[in-house]
Amino acid sequence: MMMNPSYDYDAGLLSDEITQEDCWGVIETYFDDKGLVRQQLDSFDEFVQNTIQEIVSENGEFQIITQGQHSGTHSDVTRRYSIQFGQIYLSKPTHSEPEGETKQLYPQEARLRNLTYSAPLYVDMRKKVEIADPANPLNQDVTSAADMYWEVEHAESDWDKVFIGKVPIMLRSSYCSLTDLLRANDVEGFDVQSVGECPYDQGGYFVINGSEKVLIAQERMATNTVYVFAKAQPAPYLFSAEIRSQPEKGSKLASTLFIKMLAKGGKGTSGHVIRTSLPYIKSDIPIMVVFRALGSITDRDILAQICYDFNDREMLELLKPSIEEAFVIQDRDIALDYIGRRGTTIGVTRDKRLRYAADILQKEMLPHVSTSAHHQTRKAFFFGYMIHRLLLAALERRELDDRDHFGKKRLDLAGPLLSGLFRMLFRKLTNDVTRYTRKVVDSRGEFNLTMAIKGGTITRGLQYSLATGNWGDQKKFMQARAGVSQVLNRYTYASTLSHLRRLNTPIGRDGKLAKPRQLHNTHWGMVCPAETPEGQACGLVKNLSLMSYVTVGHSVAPILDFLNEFNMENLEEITPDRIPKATKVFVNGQWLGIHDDPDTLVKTLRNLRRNVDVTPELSIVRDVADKELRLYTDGGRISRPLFIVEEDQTLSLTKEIALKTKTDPDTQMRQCDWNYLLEEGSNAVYARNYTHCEIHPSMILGICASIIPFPDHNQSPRNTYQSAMGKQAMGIFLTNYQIRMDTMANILFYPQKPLATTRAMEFMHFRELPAGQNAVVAIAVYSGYNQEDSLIMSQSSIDRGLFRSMYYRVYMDTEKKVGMMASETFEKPSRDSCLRLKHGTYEKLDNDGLIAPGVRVGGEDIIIGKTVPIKEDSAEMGQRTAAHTKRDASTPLKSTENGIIDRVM
Amino acid sequence: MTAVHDQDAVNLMRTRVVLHKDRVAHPSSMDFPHTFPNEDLSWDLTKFKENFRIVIGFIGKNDMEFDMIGVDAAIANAFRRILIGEVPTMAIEKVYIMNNTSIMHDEILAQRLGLIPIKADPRLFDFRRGADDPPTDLNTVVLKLKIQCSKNPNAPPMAALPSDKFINSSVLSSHLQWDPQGEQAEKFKNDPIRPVIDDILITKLRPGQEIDMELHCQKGIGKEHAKWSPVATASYRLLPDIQILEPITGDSAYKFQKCFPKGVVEVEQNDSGEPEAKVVNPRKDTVSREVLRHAEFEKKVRLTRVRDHFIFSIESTGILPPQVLFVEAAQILINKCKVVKAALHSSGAYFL
Repeated sequence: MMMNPSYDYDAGLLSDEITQEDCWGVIETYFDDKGLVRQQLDSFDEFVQNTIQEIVSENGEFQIITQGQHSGTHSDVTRRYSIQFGQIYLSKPTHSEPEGETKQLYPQEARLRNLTYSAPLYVDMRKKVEIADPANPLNQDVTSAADMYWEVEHAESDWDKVFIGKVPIMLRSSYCSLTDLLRANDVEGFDVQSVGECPYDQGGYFVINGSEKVLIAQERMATNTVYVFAKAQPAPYLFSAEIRSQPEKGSKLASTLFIKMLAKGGKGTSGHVIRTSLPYIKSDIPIMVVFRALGSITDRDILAQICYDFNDREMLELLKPSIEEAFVIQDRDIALDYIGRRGTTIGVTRDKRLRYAADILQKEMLPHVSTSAHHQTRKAFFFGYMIHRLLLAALERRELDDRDHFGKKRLDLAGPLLSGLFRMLFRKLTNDVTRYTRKVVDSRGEFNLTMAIKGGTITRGLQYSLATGNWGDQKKFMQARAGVSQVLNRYTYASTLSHLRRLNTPIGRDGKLAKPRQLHNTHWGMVCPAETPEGQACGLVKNLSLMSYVTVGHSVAPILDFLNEFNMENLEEITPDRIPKATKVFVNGQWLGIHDDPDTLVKTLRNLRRNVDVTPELSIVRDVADKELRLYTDGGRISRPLFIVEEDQTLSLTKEIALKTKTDPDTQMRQCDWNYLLEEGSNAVYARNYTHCEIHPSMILGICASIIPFPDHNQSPRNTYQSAMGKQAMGIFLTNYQIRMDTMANILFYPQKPLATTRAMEFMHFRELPAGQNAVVAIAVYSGYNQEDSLIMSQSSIDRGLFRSMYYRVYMDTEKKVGMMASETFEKPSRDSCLRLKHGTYEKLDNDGLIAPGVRVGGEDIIIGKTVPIKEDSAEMGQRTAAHTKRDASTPLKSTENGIIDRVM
Repeated sequence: MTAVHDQDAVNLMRTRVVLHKDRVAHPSSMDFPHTFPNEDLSWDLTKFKENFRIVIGFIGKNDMEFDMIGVDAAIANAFRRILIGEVPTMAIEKVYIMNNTSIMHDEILAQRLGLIPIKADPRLFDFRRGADDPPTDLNTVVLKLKIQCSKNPNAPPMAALPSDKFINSSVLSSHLQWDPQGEQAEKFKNDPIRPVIDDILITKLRPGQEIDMELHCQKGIGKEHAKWSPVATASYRLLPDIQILEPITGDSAYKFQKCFPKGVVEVEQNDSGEPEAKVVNPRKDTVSREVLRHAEFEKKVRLTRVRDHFIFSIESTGILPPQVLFVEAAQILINKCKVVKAALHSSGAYFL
């Protein structure tokens, strides 16, 4: 084979060409900068720095009104107590001893003492008391309390800082104690090692009751996206357009809207009618009725909002049956009444019914478009767009949507998971405060804010979910998602890393549907193609690729401002006939308007993003075929870096910048674009020009698959098998294993760097914390006498230390309280005062009931001596004599194990 | 096929192991009674004495190579196995740890110490028979390892290497101190007991850490644990014999030459002035079978090995010189034979 000179290793050093080595330089900068668990850390930081405050402000104020007794006495007035929440404060992780002393906590101490690594959260609160005196002339004719005239009786101007609970802190996140130590690098004795931490540990997990917990990313369908599906016949309908709509802010659950094209024509109509579901409305409503209820009355207006182009005969023809069906309803009020009658309210006046229907349309239908009044046009346009998409699919002009497209998937990481939990708990807390306040006020007591707030609600709630993995309320754990929080895998360093980058798809494992389990084209570069378990969870549990990152979400406001400035025409201001020629602009699934010059718009947006004038997390998807421009800023998108290709088809990364890597990582990263989830258009248009360039193809692999040398030369399931087995490898999982006291740990005597390495190993520290040894292997058979699946080892290699390993196990016990006074005691139980002694030897115990370090133990030797006092009256099945006052509760060594006591704490 | 040809084929079969492209033909010896009709192949001392030869290739400080000719593979292998597993040496067997504050666990440290070759002539010691046999100056050598690491007060201010910054940052085999017992001091005054190699890294220390232990060396054999093996390795191979069946001339002679390691085949001018390949030193051949991959040499060459010619190599760990080891091995084999002979005799099976 001829060597192409341009592939020569050193050629690039002289020329200006970017070589593979330069690409690895870029990759190194990326990992130096971000590490391997950035998604976890950023997601948690977003929660701590922004989301908590938002949730508190969302429920920022609540009021309790005590009705007057109408006794006519002077003091009998209606009182209104309001409590306001303000700024929140989060301190560093601390621990309070039972003696009352509070001191800063480091994770290692939390691990060893079974504590929770959490930081106290404080909130500013103040109360205000107002009175409405019925005697006041202003309140003469007022019937409802809300409309009364309120006088301020007492208002605090100062905020009270109140403790509301403890929030578990993710290790190495911005609020973690270790982060300060890392910032103050180069100071001797002031580093993570000084607090018992391994410098290779990368954080990204929590310490709850002494055990390390990871939050597994949860995959879900993106909200605010329209999906058009065909229903397998026979079924009541042919096609459906679906959306799960959720506004950007606020906690409301997503509201689903279905638009269906029925298989059979309605009564007296020709062809397929289209109907829609509406929230809280029991039966499906003809689409024309919804349009009329939204204020588009004439057939012509409605048709314009659906198909934009009146020359499109085919599409209009499809809408004919729907027009016919709604022929009797020609006016807004009748339409609203039609909807209202099918709602949950029965037996109310027509007036109320109309208002009810209007409310549903405003607040419950498509809430992501708007929930405020006077936005019917916008809503009608979006509704029309959904029907448009449905009809396009029915006319076979556009392909059906792909449920498994990874661009339409979002990942909930620690941040969103914790915020859901925190929101629920904070509500519970405010409810408790309300109940308490009401009780105190009713009994005419003076109420105290600090007393009203029970810090335990949030502390315990968060801890419960993190400790058990049941995500949700403790009382209804059946509905809660299980397995969200898992014990961090510490078999080997790579297995820890892989665990921190895992994602789960919460779909019934037994569902026989194969599609969500399959590797999808859009997984390229985002999730590892090889690393997935075999069996039940195959393809449902995935692992992030090395360079992929999960966005945390940013506000849309700056983008909206920019679009308005940059000549986007708002939906309210245009006539529908302009739509077919222009490009529709969507931001986070919400249709904002149209633009006539998408080329420049996209170019400008990209430049803004690349100069970090708008968030670098912004996704820009230009769908040329469908004339749509979709922008996304929401959290949970998976993203990965790519090189930018300029319009003249050259890389914007120059040799100069590539060589500067080490000295100035900033300039370089700017040349790598953050390409986010390029959604491919349905009828993919093959571009003549490139816009981006892969940094290195091996970055499509995840942690475990990156350890395999030459994976491209293997049969693909072999890589999957190795990815699963690599997690069970033995090596050295962290350098501080001697002081960590893991319940079980295996350490290899002589872990070796692999002889066949991959470049990616460097970033995973696989050469610093290796797993396994390089063995010399002979496949020694010419014919016959084959051994299958077995091996013969050289005794002398074993003698010399090959594959030798240490095994650690921790035995733990506590003196529990028995009843009121008595307590269990650690001591050396004696046969004359103690019942039910175990058959192992007690001789190795010291007088304090504990064994000494360095003692060789085996079999069922007792290593912790403990006794429980027997109740006076119990006879213990007749075995008891007068001398027996205690029962043995000692801990023996596992019967199959033996070893040496290494440490007693 | 003529009878002459047959005789050639039988001879080949009897004396050579033939290597084919995909298999090795008749690897086992057939010099046993009843293998061939009308031939008495029973073992005979005079015949053996006639054939048996030992040719020494070289003897170095710690390694040697010699040829053992005219012996069955079973005997050669017996020597090899005895060298590896049954010639005794002294090695650290018991480690009494008074103090160990290093990061290395006692168990790992003890395992590592055991592997250090100790220069003590095993012939001057007895085996310690079981735990009941008390340790004496005749069966035990005591070594001491007592070392502490501290900061180096004279370290240059910018020192980065632990070896500069600290004193005793590495524990080496040279730190092992012999503690003579009984008559040992007198007995070994000309050749004090010490590790064979001085710079074996045992573990590393940092200031404040210390190790204090007493190590007891005992006599043992490699069969029990590899640390007692007196050789790094002992191995043999059969002498290669490359038979050129038809002259290989012209360009293919050079190609033929390239199929072997340097010095095995030389190309010389033959009588007709053509270049012709000649085997000059088959001993150097690795028997890689590269020639057999080329169709043009298929009928022209036969790769064989001489079945009773063993090129024996012994690499000593340095405790005893290799030539002494072989004599020791031979003595052990003799003793084994004596045991078997006596056993056979007393059982009544001895009828020779």
